[in-house]
Amino acid sequence: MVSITKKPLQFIQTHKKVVTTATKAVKTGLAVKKAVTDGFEAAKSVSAKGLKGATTAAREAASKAASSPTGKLGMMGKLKIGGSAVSVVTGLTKLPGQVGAAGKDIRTAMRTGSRQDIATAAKSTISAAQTTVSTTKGALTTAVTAQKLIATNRAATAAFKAAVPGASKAVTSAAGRAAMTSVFSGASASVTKKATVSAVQLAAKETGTVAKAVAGSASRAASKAALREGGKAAAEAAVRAGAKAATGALAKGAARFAPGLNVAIAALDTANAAATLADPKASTGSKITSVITAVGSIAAATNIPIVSQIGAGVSAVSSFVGSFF
Amino acid sequence: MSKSSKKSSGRSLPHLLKMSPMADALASGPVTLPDVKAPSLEGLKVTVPARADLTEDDLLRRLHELKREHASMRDRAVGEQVALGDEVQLNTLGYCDGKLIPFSVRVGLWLELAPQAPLPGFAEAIAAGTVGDSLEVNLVLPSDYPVEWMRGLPARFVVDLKAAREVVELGDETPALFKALGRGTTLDAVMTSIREELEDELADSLTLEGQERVLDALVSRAKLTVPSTLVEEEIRRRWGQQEGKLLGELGFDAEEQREAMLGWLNDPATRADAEHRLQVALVLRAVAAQAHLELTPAKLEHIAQVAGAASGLSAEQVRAGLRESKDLTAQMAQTAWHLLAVEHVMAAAQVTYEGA
Repeated sequence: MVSITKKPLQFIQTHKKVVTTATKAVKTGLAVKKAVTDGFEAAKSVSAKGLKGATTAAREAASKAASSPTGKLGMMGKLKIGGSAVSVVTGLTKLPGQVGAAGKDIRTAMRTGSRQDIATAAKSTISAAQTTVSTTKGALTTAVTAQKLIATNRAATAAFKAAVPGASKAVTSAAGRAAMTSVFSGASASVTKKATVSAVQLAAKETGTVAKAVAGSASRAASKAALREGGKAAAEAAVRAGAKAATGALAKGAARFAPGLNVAIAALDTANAAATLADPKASTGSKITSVITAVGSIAAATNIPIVSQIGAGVSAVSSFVGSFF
Repeated sequence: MSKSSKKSSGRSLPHLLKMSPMADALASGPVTLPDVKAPSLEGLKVTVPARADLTEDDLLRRLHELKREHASMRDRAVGEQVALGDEVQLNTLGYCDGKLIPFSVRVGLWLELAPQAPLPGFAEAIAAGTVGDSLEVNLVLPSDYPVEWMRGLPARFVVDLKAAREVVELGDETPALFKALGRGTTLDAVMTSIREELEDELADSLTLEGQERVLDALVSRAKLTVPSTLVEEEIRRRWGQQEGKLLGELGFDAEEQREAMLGWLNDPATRADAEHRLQVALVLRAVAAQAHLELTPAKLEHIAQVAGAASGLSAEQVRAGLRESKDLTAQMAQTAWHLLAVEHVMAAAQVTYEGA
């Protein structure tokens, strides 16, 4: 079951805080509505209703679901029926101060999940029971409201999948390839398809512009790739593709958070290049180095193992490098 | 090209785990690499399967990204509520089944606060926070979570909400938006431009897949077995460079670091990936040696210029960057060697693209 509360530990029992929490939930609701207009869903609606229609439609949908008194039950029912991949938020707690990830005590407490450990780590005297979901009317209302808002946003943005364009396939390898693909595209494919059917149909009826544009695109792309064949042209195309990927959507994809899945080795060089390029304090040398490193990861179909550099030995590299200075 | 020196033949897993992980990872010496006979490049042919056509979603997603790219940003103040749609900067780490989740440690991670397909609910939970908050987010992972052992399990994350930027996009279908995008003055023109761009990227992707298939074919010809000690050494060094460094900054003690490193060493996908990368690198090394390939300064400069131009760096910047630091130039040279070998192999291979 979804439950979500925001409860600063030190004030959890006070009525004032419950009211504050409820207010924040409402603010969250506003944020959700706004996000719907900001998100991919709005862009997706362009094809169906034009850009002007997208904002209105998304706002109406969010508002309707958020104000429904049966929103919680409806949402849970849909989840069960749909059988879709749903991660359930069972709790959200604000930790005191900014201890967070850098606090050894907090990390130790997180292992066990013991509220007492967390409270102790936070140097608080709050008992374990006090940090569980409260059943007071105010808190319950807050939780339900938050659930509805989350569900609303989840439904409205179901089509947003953390996709990495085709280049992702080239930077992943072996077993990691399949896993990464499932995270960045496959896992939500069925949900996405369902959510976008209506937009696709409407677009075809009303304008058809986008649908016409994408027809035959795979064949045209294959022809472009075939034209590059022949050693140097293909190699340069690969370097260029690697550099573009390092600054584009692939780098954004690398920033997606999928704990437990090692996208690090496959994609961190790329993410690092994007971050270095965007860093105004980074030197030109570090920028071009990070790009070339990312290109190596992508255009050579693998990042180069640390233990096995293909290049010349230390003295030869030193001599080679010397020619630049 | 000379061979690497051979002081040690790699270390056993128990030995690696006894040492102070970060200290050891930073003190990496040479290792013994297996002798590999360069496989023949004759008759190297691969076929790249046809891809599906682009979809409407592909085009519309790019439009969404472009609109964000040209949006105005406002830094949110400490204590200010964040919202879905913001760009947020996070520090994260997660625990599952009483253990640190491998690859869950991220420091200074910037991302769009939007629903994450593999982790639904996570972004929505963070959206309840304010800048400066440290949050504990508890989730039950979905039954089809991409990491099998974590499916259906409760997971607990610490999320430091370090910074956030409110994103205000340009008005829909306005001259200001079209001007900023620079892709025409109508929605049709913009979508056509996006389609062409995505087709180019798809062609790039096919080119890269062709290379990948050629290198895979080459590796299978070499019939190469990489020792597990070498695989572990590679993973350990990668861990030290990437996660180990971050954990040191977060004050993880030796025991916590060891646990984190073990998470990498025991992850099947990570092992498979490291083994594959070693196979490719060792075979390319053998091919380069046999063909007496030589990297010239002009070649490195050319590669840097191609990569730099595609990344938005000017020719002058690239020239200066190549001469800024000997260490950085040496690093670039190593990558360029690798690319030179790939180019040599690809010149001998024949790639067919289905659907062309």
